[in-house]
Amino acid sequence: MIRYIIKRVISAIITIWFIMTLTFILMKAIPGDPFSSEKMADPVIIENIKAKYGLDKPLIEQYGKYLYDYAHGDFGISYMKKGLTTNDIISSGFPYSLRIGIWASVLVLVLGIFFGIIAALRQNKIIDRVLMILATLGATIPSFVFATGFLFVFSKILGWVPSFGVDNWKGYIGPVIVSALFSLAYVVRLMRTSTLDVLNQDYIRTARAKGLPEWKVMGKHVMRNAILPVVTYIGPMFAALITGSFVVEKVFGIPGIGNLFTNSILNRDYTLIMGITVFFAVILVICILVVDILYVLIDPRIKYQ
Amino acid sequence: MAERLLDVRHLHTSFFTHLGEVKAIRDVSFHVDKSEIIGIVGESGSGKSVTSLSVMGLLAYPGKVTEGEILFKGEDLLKKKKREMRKIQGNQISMIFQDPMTSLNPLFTIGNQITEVLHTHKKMGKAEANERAVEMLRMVGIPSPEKRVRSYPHEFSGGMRQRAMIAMALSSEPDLLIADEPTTALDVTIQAQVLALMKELNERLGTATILITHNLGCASSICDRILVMYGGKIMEEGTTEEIFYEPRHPYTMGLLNSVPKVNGEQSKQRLVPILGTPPDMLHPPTGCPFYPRCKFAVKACASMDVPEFQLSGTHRVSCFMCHPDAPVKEEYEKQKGGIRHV
Repeated sequence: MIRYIIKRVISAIITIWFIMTLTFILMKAIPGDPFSSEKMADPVIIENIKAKYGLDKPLIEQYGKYLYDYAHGDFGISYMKKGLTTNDIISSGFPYSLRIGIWASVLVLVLGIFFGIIAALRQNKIIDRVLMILATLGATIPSFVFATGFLFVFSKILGWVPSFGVDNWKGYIGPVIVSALFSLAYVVRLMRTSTLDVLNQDYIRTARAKGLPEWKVMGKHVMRNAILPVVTYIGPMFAALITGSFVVEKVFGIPGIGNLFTNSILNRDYTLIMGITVFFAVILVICILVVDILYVLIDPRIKYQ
Repeated sequence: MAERLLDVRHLHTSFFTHLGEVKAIRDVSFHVDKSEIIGIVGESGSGKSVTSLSVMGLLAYPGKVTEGEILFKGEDLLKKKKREMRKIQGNQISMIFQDPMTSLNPLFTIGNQITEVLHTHKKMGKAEANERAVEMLRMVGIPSPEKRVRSYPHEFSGGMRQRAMIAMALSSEPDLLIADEPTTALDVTIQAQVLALMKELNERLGTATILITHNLGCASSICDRILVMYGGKIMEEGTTEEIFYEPRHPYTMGLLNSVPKVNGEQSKQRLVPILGTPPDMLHPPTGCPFYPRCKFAVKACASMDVPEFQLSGTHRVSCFMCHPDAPVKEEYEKQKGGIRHV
């Protein structure tokens, strides 16, 4: 087991290095630079600015410094936000996105698994049909529609939640629900399908033939098998949810990291783009790693070697 | 007379599909005495598995018993509530299934799946149940059971899994074991081992057994009595000797002719297939389900329900050829000797 984890960590590090290199190459390959749109005619000033950020050095040297700094957790200084480092900017935005993401994930897992099983047990009955229609709506209606709809109903008409910002916990309700909807719709479907599949397995018939009480058949034999596909999905889902959504953060006025990322791209803030990209990549790789380890613990058929 | 354990009377089971009612079993009656092994033999779709699932109360939607009685120790299982049935399932009646590869839950250890039965039915504690699981695994011939009890199903071979299934089924000391094609998915040598094990455990523990199989050879090797099913009905019932040496139903004769012989002159002869295909149970033929394929069919076979002819205390046949007024056909007379006739 330990050996397996070490092996996976090493391969995770290689993955991250690969993503970093790719990001670096892409950033250098796009024509133009952060300062090309500045209204500074004087080439001397531009040269000076470039020299300040080390952009005048050979690419290989820039690449080496980039890897070295990142390995030490230093993501560099922002080109566009004067006096702020990338680390400052990420740590100012990430907590909001993280909080929303964690709660949204909890919501997705609890409700998704619960309703998925309900739908499977009542296959083709009214409750199943209703849940499947809702799941289709949840997966197809874009989040800005949900977000504005939510604000319209709960903020404008009912006045229960603030229309902007996250000054108190009420401000989180909307973002959490709206962020969760898409994944929730997906997990309900996934859980329904896998539960139906498991219910038809021979070992469930064996479990019933053993005269086990229904809660044990469902809770032990069905659940543990049916949840496997959902576990696989948890990794990427959790990573996506805690890294924030631009749309949700924009509509609800949250200074989260999704918003920052989009702005950094619009501003061509190289260091910030690279910093956030690598940060996201690390989060995704860690989430997937955790899920893989979890999977081994749940399913004995998966070999660690 | 031996004690009656299970008495199935006039059982009808149907599946209500969107195409219509599929009458999988029509008027099936049989009994199992204490400690005996009976075989239910028939080809695919003859209703043998449905019979066993009906007895177990495990019919899945849309299957339903529509008529009849299943008396187990004198009590009608069909009248029992689900909760009461659960006290019988896995405890007094156990079942093992065709495919040991898929019949064990892949995520739990063999030991866990055996002790589960003991926790549920015998209220055993952890240590005691575990000890019993080890003991059961040893009894079914699994080497180093103390270690194997912690193994997962995928670490077992097919034969070992079926042994583990048998250990699981017998751990609660049931009165009746229903084995639904327990050897079909196994290699021939393993088949023989598993059958021998079942016979041995039957003698040692006195567990009555219903062996469901499409293989007459399997049934003959361990069964005291054999029921031959076709098209959801029982065609012939008798002791193993009666079925093999005095078959009276043309279908039984056909089955015997299609079993390969291994020694003597007979092994050089071609097998005789039963021509035609099994009946469509959505629209089963009236009268005898076998008449479309039967060499000896007469007009009555197609139109009338065939009565049962009791030939001896243990031997009964549903065929007009056993009627006292039936026409004498030479070929039929010749085959009356069963596997001796050739």
